[in-house]
Parts: sequence; C-alpha cells; structure tokens
Amino acid sequence: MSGDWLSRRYGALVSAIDETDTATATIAQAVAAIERAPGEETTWLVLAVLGAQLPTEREVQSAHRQMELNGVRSVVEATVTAPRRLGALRSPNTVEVLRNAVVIDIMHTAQTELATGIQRVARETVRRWHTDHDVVFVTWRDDRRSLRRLTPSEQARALYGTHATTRDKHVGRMPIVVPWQGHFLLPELAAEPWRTERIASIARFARTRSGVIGFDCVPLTSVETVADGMASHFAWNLGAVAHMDRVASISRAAGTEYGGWRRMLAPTGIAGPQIETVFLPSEAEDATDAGLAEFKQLIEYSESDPLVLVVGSHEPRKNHMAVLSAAETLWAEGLRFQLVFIGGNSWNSRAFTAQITRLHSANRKVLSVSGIADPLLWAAYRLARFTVFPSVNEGFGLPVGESLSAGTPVVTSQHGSMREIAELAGGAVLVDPYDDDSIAEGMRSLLDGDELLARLRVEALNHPTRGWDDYAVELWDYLVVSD
Amino acid sequence: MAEAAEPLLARLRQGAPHLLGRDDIGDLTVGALASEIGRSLWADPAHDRLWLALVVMTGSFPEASDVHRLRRSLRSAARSEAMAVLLTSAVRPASSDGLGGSAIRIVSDRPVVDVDFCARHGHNSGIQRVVRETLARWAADDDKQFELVAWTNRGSAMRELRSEEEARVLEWTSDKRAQASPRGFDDGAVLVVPWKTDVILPEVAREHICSRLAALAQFSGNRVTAVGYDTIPIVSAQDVPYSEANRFAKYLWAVKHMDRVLSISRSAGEEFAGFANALAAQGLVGPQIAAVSLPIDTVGAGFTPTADTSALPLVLSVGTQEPRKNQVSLLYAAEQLWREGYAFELMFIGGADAELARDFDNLVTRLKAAGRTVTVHRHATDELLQAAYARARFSAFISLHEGFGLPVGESLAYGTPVLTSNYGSIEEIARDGGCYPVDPRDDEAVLAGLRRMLDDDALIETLLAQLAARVPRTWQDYADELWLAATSEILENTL
Repeated sequence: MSGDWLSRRYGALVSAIDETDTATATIAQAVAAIERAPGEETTWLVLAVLGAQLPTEREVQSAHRQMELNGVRSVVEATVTAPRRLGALRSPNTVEVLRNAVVIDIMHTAQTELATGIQRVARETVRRWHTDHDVVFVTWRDDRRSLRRLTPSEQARALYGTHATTRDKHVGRMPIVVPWQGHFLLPELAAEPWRTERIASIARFARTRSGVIGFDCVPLTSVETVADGMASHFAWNLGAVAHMDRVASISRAAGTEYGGWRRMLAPTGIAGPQIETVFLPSEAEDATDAGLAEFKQLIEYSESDPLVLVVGSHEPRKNHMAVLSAAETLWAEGLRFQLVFIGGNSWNSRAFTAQITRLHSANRKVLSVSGIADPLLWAAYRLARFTVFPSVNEGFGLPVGESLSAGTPVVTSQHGSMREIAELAGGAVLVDPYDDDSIAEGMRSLLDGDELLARLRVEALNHPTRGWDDYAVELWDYLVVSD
Repeated sequence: MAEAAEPLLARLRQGAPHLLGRDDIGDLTVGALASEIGRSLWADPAHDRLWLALVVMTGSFPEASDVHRLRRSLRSAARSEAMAVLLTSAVRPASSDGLGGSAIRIVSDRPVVDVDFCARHGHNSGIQRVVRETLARWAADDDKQFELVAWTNRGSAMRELRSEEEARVLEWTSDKRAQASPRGFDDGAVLVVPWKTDVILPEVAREHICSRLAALAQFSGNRVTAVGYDTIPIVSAQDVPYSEANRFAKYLWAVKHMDRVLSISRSAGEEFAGFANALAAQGLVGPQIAAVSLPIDTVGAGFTPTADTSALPLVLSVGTQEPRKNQVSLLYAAEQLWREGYAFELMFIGGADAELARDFDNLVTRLKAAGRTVTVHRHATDELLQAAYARARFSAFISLHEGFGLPVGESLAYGTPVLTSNYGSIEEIARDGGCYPVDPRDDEAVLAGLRRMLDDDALIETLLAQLAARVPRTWQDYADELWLAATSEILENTL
C-alpha cells in the first residue's frame, strides 16, 4: 500500500524532470532522473514532490549541498522518510505537479468575505480570467507548507465574495499541488511570513514565470500610517517579490515605490523584477431612486446644505483631520454645506472620532457613517456636490476614480496616484494635502463656484471609461502573454 | 502648578526671543509671555515656530500630531483665545512625559550631535566604533565646535550629557565596555533644543525616539543629517530577526523628513537613494544622499606580523555568524575541498546569536566530529585576532549584504588578502585591490574561489602587491569629510 503512493510520487517527479508522463517509477529511476538534471531547481522539485512540502530557499540550498556531498540518493531517502506530524496512519496525500499551468495563489481572498480595495481588485480580475482562460486557483494547506486547489465554496468566495458557509470538510485529503514551469501569479497581498518565504522559493526555483499585482509600498514608505507590525510582514513580502519576474503596479505612483525599492535591492546582488504599470480602472454603478431616497433620509439631507462627501476609512494616511480643519474654516466663513464621511474606523482613528463629537456639539453639519451597503454608496456619490480625498499616499485612491466615474468632481491630492487619476479623467481640483489651507481653498472653489463645478462635472462625465474588463485583459497580457 | 510655573517661566524666557523676535522680555510673567507668544503664533503659525513653542510649553519635543493639533486649534480660534489654546496644548504631552519641570537650553551656534546610544552604553561594535572614532577626532579639532546630546529615557527630548557619558563617547577605553547610564540621569538634566542649526545623527536612531525625531526633521527647521549605514533590516529582512524590519521602518519614517543622508559606502547610498525615490509617490523628495565612505586603515598602524609557524595554511573568517554573512556556504566549500584532500585550517572569529547561528553551529559540530580542521572563537581577544590575521593565507568575507563590510577593510589593513563578494559595498572596497571577488550566492563560484586562493601562490602574491599599493584612507579623512558634508551649505556629489 505504502509503496503505491511512493512510486506515484517518484513517477510524478520523473515526469516533471523528463517532461514525460510516467505514472509510477522506482527510486533508482528517480535518482537517475535527478542526476540527469542536477541543480537547485531540480532539488526544489525533489523536496516539493517527494516531501509534499514546498521548501524554503534555505532548505533547497541545504538539500542541494547534501546532494553534492553525499549523493542524490541520500537526500531522496531522507525526504521520503521525513517525519510527518499528522496522518501517520493514513496513506499520504497524492502529489500532483501542475506543469505549465497558470497557477494563481488567492488564499486570502478565498477565505474572506471582506471587500477591501485589494480584494475588490483580486476578485474583479480573477473572475474574468476564470471565464476567459485556463487557470488553477490554489490556496495554502493547514500545514502552511503546501498548496492545494480551492474547494467549490472557496472558489465562489474568491470570485464573488459570497458568504462563508461551514468549513469545508476533507480538504486535508485533497491532492497537494506543485507548480512547475508555467506561471505563478499573486493577485493579492501575501502578508504571512510562512507563505511569502515559500513563495520566494517558488519564484526562484520552480521555473515559473511569476508575477504579482503591486498595490503600494506604504508599510515601507509611510510606516507611521499603518498598524504596528505591518512593516515586517511587508518586508518579507518584498523578499518574495525580489525573486519574481514581474510586478504590475496599479498606478505609476505605486510603480515609483516599487522602483525605489528595487534600487534599494540592487546592492544585495539581486536584480529584482521588471515593473510596469497596469492602471486600475474606475467604475461606478448607477444610483437608484430608492437608494437616493434612503441615503437622503439617513443623513437628513437638506437642499440648503449641499453634500460634501469623504469616502474612506479613518486612518491617519487619509488625512481626515485636515478635512475637518478645512471644513471648520469654511463653516466659520459662513459657507453652508453638510460634510459626510463614509468609512469604518481604523487604526488610530480616536482623534477623528473626538473631533467629530466636538463639531457636533458646536452644531456643525458633519456626520460619519460606516458599514453602508453599496447602493447607498453609489447614491452618496451621485448626491454629493463634490467629494474630498486629500490622502497623503495611495497606491490608487479608488474613491477618486469612483467619484469621477459617477460624474461627481473631487478635491484631491496634487501628487501620486490621485493626480494620475485626475489627469486621466479630469473633473478634479488638485490641492496640497500637507496644507489645510490648500484643502480649504480647493473645497471653497467648488462650494462657491457653480461654473467651475459644472465644468468639472462635464469633464468627469465625458472621461474615457476604462473598466475591469480592460484591466483584466491588460494584466493577463503583461503577466502571462508578453515576453 | 506653583512648582511647574517656575521652570515654565524659565523656558518661556529662553524661547520668547526666538518666537517674538525681541529680547526685552525680562520681567514679563508666565501669563504675559504665553499671551504674547500665543498671539504671535496665531498671526504666524509657521511649523518651526509651533515646534519650538511646544518644546517651550511642554519640556518635551512634540510629535507631528501635536504640531498639527496646535496649528488647527489656533486656526479655529479667535486672536483673543490664542493664549488659552497655547496653554491647552501644553497639557497633554507635558503630563504624559513627566518632564514639564525641565529646563531647556536653545542651541543655535553649533551643530547638535545625537550620540544617544554611545553616551548611554559602553558597547563598542560596528556603528559605535564609527561614532567614537569620528567624534574623538572632531573633539580634537578646535575648528569643529559641536554639542553632544542623548535623549531622555522615554525618548521625549534631547538632553545634555553627564561628564561620564561624554567620556564614554570621546575617550572610550575597553574597560568602559559594560557600562550603562542609570535611568536617574534624566533627573534634573537640561534639555537641549536645536534651533536654526545642524542636527547630526551619526547613530541609527532607536525605535522609541523616531516619532519625535521625525517631527523634529519635518517641522523644526533645523537641517538634519544622518549617517546612513544600510537598509539591511528591510531589504534583507529574511536574514535578520523578524521584528527588525518594523523597528527599522520607524527609523525610515524619520529619514523621510531629513535633509541629508551621508552613506558609509556608495552602495549603501544607493539603498537610501532608492528609498528617497519611492517618496515621490507621497509628494516628498526625501533627503539628499551622498557617500562618505568609511576608512580602510582601521588597525594596521604599529602592527608587526609574526612568523607563521603552523603546519597548515589558515583561512580566516571574521564576523558574527549569521545567515546574512553566508558562512555556511564557506563551510560547504571547505568540506568539498577537505574531501578532495586539501589540507588547511578554517578559523571563524566573531560572536553569534544562538538562533541565527543554529545551522552554522550544527554544521561545525558535524565537521569537527569528522576530524576537519575548523575552529570557532566567539570571544576572541584583540591579540588572538591580530595573530590570526598575521597567520592567515587569506581571509574570506562573502556576505550577502553589507553597508560597508568592516572586516574586509580590517583584513586589508593587516595585509591579508580577502576572498570577497562581487557586488555591493564589498565589491566597492575590493575594487581597489587585494581582494578576489566571487558571487556569494553561487556555491560553485565560492568553491572555485576558495580552491584558487588555496592553490594559486601567484594569485596571492599579486593580491599582496595590490594590497600594498592601495592608497590608505584614514579615520581622519573620514571625520573631516563627514563634518564638511554635514555642515556645508551645498552637498556635493549627491547620488
């Protein structure tokens, strides 16, 4: 019985090395195949297929040195008899080598119903790829050392964000998959060190062409704006990206961050990936009459105080304290408007909450709402006279694109991705987010200036639309098709 | 409140001339001074003035959020409320730091040099050696006037040094190695406030001061310059303890707002320049970067090699044993050659963290058991180190990532050729002769390099000749260039 699984693993190994289809093989045949193609890449494959665990870079190096010193067979034997923590009584899992497949690691998106910016991008993209191409979605097994395919419910969650039901049973018995040649793609942010450590090894040794969506390098460049601990996770993520072939940055600004990091990397003797921008799309959905009515009721909207909308979580990077300060200046000047924030509390949002409370007690028309459904968000974009998004640093700045796609002008930052979106779409007043007065000036120009507002509205409405279909095609071309 | 009023009055009197632009404040009370300063800030809430006002009011350096809060509070207040706003701004930070009773001294006529770690601790390896070699030479030069500072225990402000702390920086001797300042050194210490001057950071700032250092760099108007050692904790994160990247990212937060980084090699400068490039995404330019390379004449003076009396040629590897230094690759190459019948001794000198050195230790244990001639000295004396360099046929330093690679310079200073890495800062040093560079990430290349250095006497002779012809670069050269680069109006040769 045990001989069967082992000879099948030898067969899988020989097939992958020799590019044949050999169902089963002997240890002698396996050793011979390895000796025909010696090298660290082959050693990675040996450990992955025979040991059913994707090795780290160091494990590969160490095993490879053992092979050179003590012969291939000693490492092969040590790998297949390596102790396993679980399932000693069961027959070991099948190992399947995915040769020349497009393998997509989508672990986090497949686990969560969350729809953060990153999940949104990942879902919109892989859903389209799933329809148009042959791809294999994979996730990490509970041992944190090996990959398997997704279950149907995980795949539904990865593609559509549907709710989790109960935990899938029997995932432990599913075949372990090993990517080899072909492509290995990461369309989300991998933050777990045990995962990025092994992705680094895949990128370096698995002969795949590997690629990742580069969202931003904020944990490196703006650590003061992220939760404590994020920088280490991210540094390890970069350790994997260092061995990849391609980064598709979601904006030129994000590409600038990755480009800066690649310059930092050069003194380590690692060239780093090619970096190219595949700009994210901005799509707004139509607001419904019902949604508009409900949102107006929610915020107690009155025509006399036009809506100024701020979308985004209340983390320091989004600069909401500056917006409140600018608004206070304008209210003090006698301008009338209602300021509404849509977004959850986040890391370090206490000062924001306190300031909202203080302004309430001063009878300022300001409101912070969170956890609203999408139709209400689209209604808010439609209802707003303009939106304000003076973030300090964004990989993309989704609310800027969404606002403009809804035909609503935006006051946003004069640099980075926000400027890029504005340059593409028009419809924006650009301000210096480090200067409250500049933000106030931008808001004032759209509160006072009906003409300017109308012109920007036209610009926004007429801007060339670029949708998720375009993005998914361009990303596929860059990461998979082009040389 | 009564006790607090006296130090506050003293600080207000210190700060008022700078904030009000006049000196006739002799007999004004706390209330009168706060009122005048409040109104002055209300009229001109420039960031540097807000920063200084907060230092004066609280007896601590503000964080960015303190500066923003004061500015916004003043903006939304009437002129008549400015004093109340200023007094309110003093409440939270001062009470949280407990140093509201401290006196301040504003320094504008000389650079302020932050030597926090070297002042408080006697420890003396890489960075501390650079700091002490440099500062001792600055101190010996009457043309270089500067103010040494440390930070308070909680990182709330810069303070004057005690005399034993100053000695620990400027007159370090090995018997000071285990010393450390007691916490009580904060008590009664006068805080040093740099104002319209240079702030020079020859150390890597520790995590707990980074938020206030970042605010100082961003808002205080001082010109802030750091010595840039490397970005290893970020770029080679897998090779250092996991939390290091977090710590270092906080340091980069301060670097982001600095004016200059003077890197210890061109290669390290590239790392900081890459970081600065990335800042464009947030509308910042980041610091200017220039390389002021460390010297290569560390210990050579007065050194006489002793005759080699041992039977085996010695290969020496100096440095902490950790994955980044790549000693395991060297051991692997050595084992190959021993198996082929080569006879040589491989000696490691350097400390180690048990966790980081685990693979190395296991391998050494196994090799020793197999009778291989490998030795490890974790606590070597200077005498042993010198004797080893003298005996060695060559040293090996094939680290994967270094800001400079001090052991390469050290080996060259002792007249011992080096098997080195072929990229980055190490290659920069190797380029000028005496070194044989190989790709440290390629086992075959390391093996070939080791073999050649053992086999080829002509190569060793050539390297020795190159080594002798190298133009030495001294600590005096380094100290002078660093001073010039940190204090000159225009930074030359930026990367």
